[in-house]
Amino acid sequence: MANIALSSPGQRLSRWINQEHVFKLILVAPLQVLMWAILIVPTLLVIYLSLVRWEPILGDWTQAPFNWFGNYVKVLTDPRFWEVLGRTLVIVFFAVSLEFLLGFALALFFSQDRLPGKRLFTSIILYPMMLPWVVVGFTFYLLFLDRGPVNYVLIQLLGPGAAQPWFKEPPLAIGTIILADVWQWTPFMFLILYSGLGALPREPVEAAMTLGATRWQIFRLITLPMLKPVIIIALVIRALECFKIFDLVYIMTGGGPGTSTESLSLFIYRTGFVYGQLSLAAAMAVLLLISIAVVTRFAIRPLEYREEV
Amino acid sequence: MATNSELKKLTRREFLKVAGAAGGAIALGSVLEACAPAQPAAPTPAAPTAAPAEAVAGATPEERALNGIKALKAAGKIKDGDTFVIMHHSGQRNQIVPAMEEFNKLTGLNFQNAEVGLEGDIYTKAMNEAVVRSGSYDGFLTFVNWIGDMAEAGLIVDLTDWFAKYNPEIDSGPNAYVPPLDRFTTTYKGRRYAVGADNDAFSMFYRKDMFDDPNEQKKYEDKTGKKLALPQTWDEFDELVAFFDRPDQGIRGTHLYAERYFAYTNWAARFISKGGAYFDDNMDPLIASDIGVETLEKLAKVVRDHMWPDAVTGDWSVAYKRFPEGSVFSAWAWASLGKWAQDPKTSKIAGKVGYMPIPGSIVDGTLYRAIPHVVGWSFSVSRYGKAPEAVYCFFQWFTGPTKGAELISRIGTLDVFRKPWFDLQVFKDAYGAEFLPVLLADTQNAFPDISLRGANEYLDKLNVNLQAAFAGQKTPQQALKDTVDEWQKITDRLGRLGQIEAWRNERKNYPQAIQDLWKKKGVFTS
Repeated sequence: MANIALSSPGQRLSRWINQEHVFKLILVAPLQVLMWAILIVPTLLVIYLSLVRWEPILGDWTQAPFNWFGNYVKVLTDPRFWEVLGRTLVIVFFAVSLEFLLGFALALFFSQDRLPGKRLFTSIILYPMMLPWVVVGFTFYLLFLDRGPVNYVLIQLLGPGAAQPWFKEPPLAIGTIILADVWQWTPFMFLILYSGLGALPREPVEAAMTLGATRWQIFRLITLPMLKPVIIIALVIRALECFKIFDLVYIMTGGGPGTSTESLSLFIYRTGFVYGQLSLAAAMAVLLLISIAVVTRFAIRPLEYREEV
Repeated sequence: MATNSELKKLTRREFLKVAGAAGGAIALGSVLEACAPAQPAAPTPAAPTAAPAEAVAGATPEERALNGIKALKAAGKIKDGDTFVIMHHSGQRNQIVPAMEEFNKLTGLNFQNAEVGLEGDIYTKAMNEAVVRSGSYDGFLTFVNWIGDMAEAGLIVDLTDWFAKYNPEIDSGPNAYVPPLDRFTTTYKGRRYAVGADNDAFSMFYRKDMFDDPNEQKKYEDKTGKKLALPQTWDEFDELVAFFDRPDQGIRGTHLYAERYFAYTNWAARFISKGGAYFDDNMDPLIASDIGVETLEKLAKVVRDHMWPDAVTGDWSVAYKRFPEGSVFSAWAWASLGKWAQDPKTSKIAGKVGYMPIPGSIVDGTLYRAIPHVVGWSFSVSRYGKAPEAVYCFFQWFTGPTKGAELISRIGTLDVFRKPWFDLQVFKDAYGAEFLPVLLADTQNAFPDISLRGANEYLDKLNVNLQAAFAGQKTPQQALKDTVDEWQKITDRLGRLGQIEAWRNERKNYPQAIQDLWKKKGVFTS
C-alpha cells in the first residue's frame, strides 16, 4: 500500500500496461479498430444509401430524402431482378456441380499411390486457376466466336451446318459461360478435395479392405463420409464465388443478347454505375449480402454439428 | 476511473466490441466529414458559372487562351508550377500528352494527364468525383452525352461566360466547327458546358473494287433492272447489301452495329431520317410509332439475312476486324475505320475502299439524311479543381484552329471537327482526300446521341431491347414498347419537368433539315 502511494502516475500506468491481459489488448487494439472501421463504415454507408433515394445526378447524397424500404420493395418487385437471380442460380448450380464432379474425379485419380508424372500433371491441372478472370473470359470469347476455333472444328467434323451462334442463343451463351467457369475453377475443387483425400486416415480403409469391402463400398461408406466437411467447404466457397460471377459474363456476352445472360453482379453494376441508381444498387447489395449470409449459415451447419458431437 | 479489478472484469470480447464500435464511429465520422460537401451541391440552374468579364485580347483562340493564363497569373490566381490534372481515355494519349508538354513550356504551368483505359470508367470516375469532391481532377475529356449528367451532378462549370470572354471561335467565323457540332458537343439546356474536341459522325465504307467491277454491275442490272449506283435511301442500301451478300465466298453484305452498346445507331439513323424523334415535347417516347416499328422490322431483316452473327454478339471492334479483313462488303463506323481499312499494315483491302454518303429517307419527295454522332469527346472543367479558368484556357488552346489542327491530325481517337480543317493537306493525308468531303457532308447532317440527364440509361435500355430484337428474342413491336415503358420510368424518376426542358433544348441541336421535317410532320411546332 505504501508502495502504491509512493509511486508516480507514470509508474502506475507502466505497471498497468505490463499486466499480461492489458498488454495483449493494447497490442491487438489498433488493428481491431482499423479492421472494424474498414468493415463497418462501408457496410453502414451501403445500408444508409439503400434507405434513401439518391443518384449522383440528383444532387448531394447528404441531402437525399429517405425512402426507407422503398428501394427494397422496388428491387423485390422488379421482374428483371428475379430473372437475373434465377439465371445466376442456374449458372451456380451447373458450374459448381460440374466443377465438383470433375474435381473429385481428378482428385480420386491422382490420389492413387503409384502414378507416373503425378507432380507434373498436378501442377498443370492447377494452371487455369492462376489466370485472371479477364484472360479466361477473353480466351473463351475468342474460342466461341462465330468463326472461331470451336466452330471451325465443328464444321470440319460435321459439316457447314454444325456451326453454332454461341453468343446469340441465350442457352448456348450461358453454356459457354458455365464452361469457362468450369475450366477455370475445376482445379480449385481438385486442389481442396485432393488435399482432403491425402489427409484421410488410412486405417479405416485398410480395415475395410481386410474385411472384404469392395472399392465402391469403401468409397461410399468410408471415404465420402470422412471427406464430407472438406466437400462442404469446397462447395460453399465455390458457390459463393460463382454467385458473384461478373467478369466472364461482362467479357463474353456483356449480359446479352438483350439481358438474357446478365448475372446478378452485372445487374447490380449496371444499376449502380451505368444507370447511376446507387441507392437501388445498394439495396440489391444488401439483399445479396443477407442471402449469402443465410445460405452460408445453413450450408456450414453440418460442420458445426460435427464439432459439437 | 476504472480500477485494476474493474479492468480485469473487462473481457477481451467486451473490449473488442467497444473498441470496434468506437473505431467504427470514429471512422464513420471522418468519412462523413470527408465526404460532406465543402459547399452545398445544387442542380444545374444554381451551379456556379464562369464569371462574366471583358473579352480577352488576342488575334486567335490560342493567343487569347495564353493571354488568359498570363492575366490569371498577374491576378495571383495561379502561379508557375501549379499542377492541373486532366482525365482522358488512353486512345487520346498521342494527342493530349504532347499538347500538355508544349502548353507547360509556354505557360510555366504543370498540366498532367490521368489516363483511363476503359471509356466507361471515365464516367464512373467522373461521377465519383462529383460525390467525393476530392479535387483530384481539374478537367475531363468525356463522351459528349455525359455532359448532362455531369452538369446536373454539379461537377462541371458552366462555361458560357468564358466562351464570351475568350471566344473559342466555335460557332461563327471562318474557323467555326462544322454545324451542328458547335452546338451539341458543347451545350446542355442551352448553356455551354464543354469544349468540343472531336467529330464522331458515322461514315459508311464499302468495297470499291467489288462495286466498280463491270461484271458485278452487269449482274446487278440483270437482276434488278437498275444500274448499280451508290444508294441514296436506306431501302436502296438494303438492296445493295443483299446483292453483295456472298456467304459462300465468306463475304456478307454489311456490318451495321447490332450489339449491346451501339445497336441503336443504325436504327436511329433510319428512324430520324423519316422524321422520327425520340420524344415528344412532354418527354413521351415516340419510338414505338409505326415508323419506329417498320424501321426496326426492316433493319432486323438485314441483320438476320445479310450480316455475320457477331454484329449482334460482338462489340464495336468487330467492324474494325470484319471490314479490313474483307469479310463484309460494307461497314459503318467512326471515321477511323477508313484509316484502318486504307492502311496495308492493318488491312487486306487497302486501296479498295470507297466512301458513300450515308443513305437517308425520302419524305414527300425530299431526301433527308440523319447521321448519328456516336459518343464523341468534349472537354469539361471540374468545379472542384484548383483554377477552373486556367483549365478552360488549356482546352481552348488545345482545340484552337491552328494548334488543334496539329494535334487532332495526329493518330488518336479525336477526329477532325473544325470546318476549315477539311481543306488542310495534313487532314487529307490522315484520312484520304476522297474521304474528307464525304465526312464533311455527313457531319453536317449529324444528330447527337441522347444527351439528357440519365443518357447512359436511356441508351442502354434502347440497346438492350434492340439487341434482343436483332437476336430474335423479341418482336420489333415488343422491343420498342418495352423501351418506351423503361424510358417513361426513367423520365419520371429523374423529374419530367427538368427532362422536358433539356429535351426541348437538345432537339434544337439536330440538323436544320431534320428540324424542318419535324415541323412539316407536326412532330414539334416550334
